[in-house]
Amino acid sequence: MKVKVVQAVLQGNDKIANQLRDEFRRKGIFVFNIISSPGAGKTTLLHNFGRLIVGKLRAGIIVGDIEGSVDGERISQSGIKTIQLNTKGACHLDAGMIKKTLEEFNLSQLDLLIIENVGNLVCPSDFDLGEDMKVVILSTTEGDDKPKKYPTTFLKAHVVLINKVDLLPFTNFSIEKAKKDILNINPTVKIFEISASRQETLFDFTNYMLDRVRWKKTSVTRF
Amino acid sequence: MHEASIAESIIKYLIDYEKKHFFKIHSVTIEIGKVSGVNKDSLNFCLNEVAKAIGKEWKFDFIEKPLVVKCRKCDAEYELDEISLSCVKCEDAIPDIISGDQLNIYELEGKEIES
Repeated sequence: MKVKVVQAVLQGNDKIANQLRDEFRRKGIFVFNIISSPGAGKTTLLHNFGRLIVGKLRAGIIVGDIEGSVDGERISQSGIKTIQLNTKGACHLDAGMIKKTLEEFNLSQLDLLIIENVGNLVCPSDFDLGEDMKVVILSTTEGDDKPKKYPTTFLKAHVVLINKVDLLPFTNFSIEKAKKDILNINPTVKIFEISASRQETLFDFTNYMLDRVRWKKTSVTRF
Repeated sequence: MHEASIAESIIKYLIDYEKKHFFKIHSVTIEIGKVSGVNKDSLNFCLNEVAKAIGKEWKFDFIEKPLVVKCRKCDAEYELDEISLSCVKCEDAIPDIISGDQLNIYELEGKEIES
């Protein structure tokens, strides 16, 4: 006999992600998930972003890597509590991994949680982690054809950071072409041009995110 | 290689289904969209390896769903080979995906077990 079930394969992940989202909403924690290719600048961004926000709000960072703790150690120097999550082979983080890692944090003492996903522009965008926003980093040294090559990742992004703009003179990357392609794929996405290693280029992005953190805090619904 | 963890999710669902519904599965049909981000051959390989490892003789079949889009501006609906950065009809905004991004366990074939 045949049984039609039509069950979304990632429903198990989505169920946990929705539980996390509910918990983040109840506690007023704003969460963003950073996705990019390896080497696009996630860790440098978080190190400098962390230094800009430390003392202004209560933040935590989960750093996802296949192996090792180099990134976690580097980001923790910013003064923000950082937990390294090793996937031991998996090319992305899933909601179950985040749920387990959250045991390391006191959630009632948190305003902002940042999740640095495993360096990969394909798989991480398929897995909901309960976040409010997906932030995708595209660096100028990767080439301006990335949005066309990985449209589904840019389609799901809320913010795109075009990083390493200080290296533009040494590349054939066209900011105009990249922006046009990104906005064609996703007309409502917010784009910032940054050089993650230079703090002064992160002010606009930082203020934008701090506004979202405040918004989430003030819209807390307690059950 | 996220197909491995996707295969794991599918297998977990099948094990639970057999237990919950007193059902012995023979074959499983997976519905896979053209732009689901999952490689069919790789998923098929992972599913068979995991099933074998847990002693299940399940057969996996696939229904491939084409990419169907609809333009936000001119409402034109049509099939595409890949995600387009602009509508092929009015050349304006990128069309929305109507179908082709799904990944579903579509149908199970087997027999009920007397409890």
